[in-house]
Amino acid sequence: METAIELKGITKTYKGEKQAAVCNVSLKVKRGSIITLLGPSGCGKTTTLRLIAGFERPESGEIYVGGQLMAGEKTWVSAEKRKIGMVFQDYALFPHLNVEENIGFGYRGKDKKERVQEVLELVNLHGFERKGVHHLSGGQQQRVALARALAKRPEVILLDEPFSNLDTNLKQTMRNEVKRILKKANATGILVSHDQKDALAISDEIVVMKDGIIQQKGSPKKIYQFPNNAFVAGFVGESNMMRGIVLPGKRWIATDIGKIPCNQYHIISEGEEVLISLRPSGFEITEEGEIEGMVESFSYVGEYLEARVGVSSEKKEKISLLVYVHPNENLKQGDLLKLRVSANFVSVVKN
Amino acid sequence: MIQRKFGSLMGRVPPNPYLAIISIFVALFMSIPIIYVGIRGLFAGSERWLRLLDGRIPQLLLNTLGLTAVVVFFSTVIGVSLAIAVTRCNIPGRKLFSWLLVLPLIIPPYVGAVTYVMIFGPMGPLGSWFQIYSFSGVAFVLTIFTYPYVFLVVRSALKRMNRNLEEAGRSLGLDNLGVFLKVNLPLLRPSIGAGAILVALYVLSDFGAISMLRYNTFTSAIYYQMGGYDNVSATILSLVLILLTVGVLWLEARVGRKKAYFQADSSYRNLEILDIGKWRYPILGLIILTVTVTIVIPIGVLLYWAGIGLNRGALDGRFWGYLLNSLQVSLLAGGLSMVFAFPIVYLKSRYPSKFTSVLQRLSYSGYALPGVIVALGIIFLFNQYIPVLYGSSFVIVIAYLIRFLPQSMQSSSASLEMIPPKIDEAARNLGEPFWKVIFKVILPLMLPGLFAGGALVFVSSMKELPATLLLRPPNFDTLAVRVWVEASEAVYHMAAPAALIIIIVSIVPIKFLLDKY
Repeated sequence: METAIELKGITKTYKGEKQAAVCNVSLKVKRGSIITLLGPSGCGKTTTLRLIAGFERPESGEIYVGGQLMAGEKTWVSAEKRKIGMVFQDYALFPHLNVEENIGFGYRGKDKKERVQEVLELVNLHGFERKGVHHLSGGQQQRVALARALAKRPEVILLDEPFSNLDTNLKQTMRNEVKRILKKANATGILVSHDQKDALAISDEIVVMKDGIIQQKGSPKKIYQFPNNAFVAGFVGESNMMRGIVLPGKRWIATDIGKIPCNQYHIISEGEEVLISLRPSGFEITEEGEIEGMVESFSYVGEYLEARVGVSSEKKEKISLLVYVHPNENLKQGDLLKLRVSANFVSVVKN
Repeated sequence: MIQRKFGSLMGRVPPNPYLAIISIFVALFMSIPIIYVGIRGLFAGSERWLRLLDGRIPQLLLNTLGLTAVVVFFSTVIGVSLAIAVTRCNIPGRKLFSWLLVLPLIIPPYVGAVTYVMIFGPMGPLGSWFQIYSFSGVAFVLTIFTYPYVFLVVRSALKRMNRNLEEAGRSLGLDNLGVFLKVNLPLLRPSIGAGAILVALYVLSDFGAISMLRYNTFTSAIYYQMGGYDNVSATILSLVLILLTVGVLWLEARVGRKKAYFQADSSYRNLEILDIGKWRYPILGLIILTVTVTIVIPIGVLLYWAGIGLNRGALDGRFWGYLLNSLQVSLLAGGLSMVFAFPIVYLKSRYPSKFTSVLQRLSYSGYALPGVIVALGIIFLFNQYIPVLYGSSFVIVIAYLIRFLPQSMQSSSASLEMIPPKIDEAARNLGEPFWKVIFKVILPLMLPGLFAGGALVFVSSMKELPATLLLRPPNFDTLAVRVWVEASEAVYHMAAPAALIIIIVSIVPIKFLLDKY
């Protein structure tokens, strides 16, 4: 697979700041894939995006777009000369231009008219050519922004918090739409988001960042099921964290609430003390369950029941587990439950 | 390597170098004359200093500060009371009055002074009633034409005040007076201070009204020293006046810091209008008196004399010549101000750093300072280094730019701040180079603000008196100059038509002021 974007050891410190906004970040993005930089505000994800776009300059490291060096020790290609499209957070549509003029802005090919039509079809805005951008809904504005970014057939499309301004229903539609459009245009997409749902829904790969440092890269499934540190486990979904000792055979981990299965045997050794993360969705209520606990509280959130289950530990302290239960279950406070843990939702985590 | 160093110095992608160079040029151009006056004043020699310190400076300080204190006091009292009356009390017609009470701002104080000389002057009908050429005469005229500054600022603060605060005060057991003293007044204090400072800055810089009423403060003293070709004494007096002004500006910076009292949050509710019973009528009487004294009488007098002027053929070819002169220099200043304001405003907004805020401050240096000082600086520099331009009307345009460019900067900066920087980035991201981004996106979007700024500079230039008087080439008179000269010589029927034109032009910026406050 070809590489569309490559970052090599990028560091950027803003003036007057002690800590680097982005610290020694390296990243390869395959052509045609969609990746999401995910993290809380201030984690460096937006800075990374702006570095790729050429709005900020790294103090060290190299940035390649389509194999060509854009920024490095002696090289600097300014923003307008990079083949990168960008969809801004509030879309940044030019208020004095109509839809067609926005999309065609900066396009120099002779086929301008045809190309504008082509991308308008792609984003399902046929017939909106002459509309002013003020008269469009949020979702339509985003389609225009996406069309504008796609028009010049850039190497990569950057999307800065693309769904943060949309209400919940529209958000879901637009997640699917953006994914469809990017895939259909065969474009490479780099998305920035603080919302794990965006990331899980749209990405081929997620890059979790914190304090300017990449915490973990991987497919949405891998990130969710096997977070490799406590931050990722806590940021992408919720998690129960606990310590345990790896038992002989490396298939089980002994914890305060009993034996927990684990299939990450290749990264642990017998007798080692490890920190593990148990996803709340990894529990199953069944008679064969080895973990016994009592329902302390629960709340109904629609798709599932969020229950707190108190489990007595070997040290006689109660441990409270967060468990997602199918909404069909009729839970009452004080119910006794037997829980089984699926190894697919247990992850060994770095300290 | 060098490139990297420059990059890290600017903290980000460095600004376009041409834009930076133009901005530096503008900032220096705006500030050098003033700085030059300061330096010349500092090195004027201890002998001259001592002579002035012994002789004229103490008296001038007393005159200037005394006048400033009295005018600030009265205009604050009048401005605050009227603002409270029209925003909070059930005065009949309060909407109309809250507009009429701002209107004196269209009458430049020197024109106002002329109208009261027409009435109370030696040739006036009421000449024996009141000695207008006196401290109380000057104080009266300056007060009635500057109180609207306080009125405007306090009125806008009152409008933004949250009713919840008053009700909280009431729930804690305060009566009407208690709420006013303990809730409203403390909240108003920063705005009252800001208005008072505007008045103080105005009185320190006024030349026209003060000289028209034959009073002597620093500005008029500097003017007459320059008239007598004693530029050294003029520089020394200028330096003292600069220090006074800087002192007031320092106060302003301190008041400004405490301005963040208001929260227009979601719980904001309009204030209730208090029923003040039969007190309405005496207060209404005072408001009508104020409007009469500040608007009706001055404009009435001018109309009267303009009528006489028309009959005696005042609108002759020479008159149209003066108008043409005024328009020529003012339009040029307004137009250039748009060109000059843009680079600094853009740089400051898009590349905020110490460097850009220094540039901005430098461009403000002529703004608060009296026109006589700006003129003095220009005379020094042009006499010495660019004698070709000295004696052409172009130096007047330069003086206008130095005095009024910040008005244009404020206006265009306000409209630039409405355009998020992401718009620039989006345009560059789509492959347009810097200059195209400016011309295809930023300037079209900024145009209304840019033009509004140019219009403000145009109007201020039409009214400008002191720098024009000092810098005009022989036989180049503007309307403002004519008003002053004819009125000084008591040729009122010639002064009135020109004064009326200046007043009509001044209506334009009132709309901006009302929108702003």
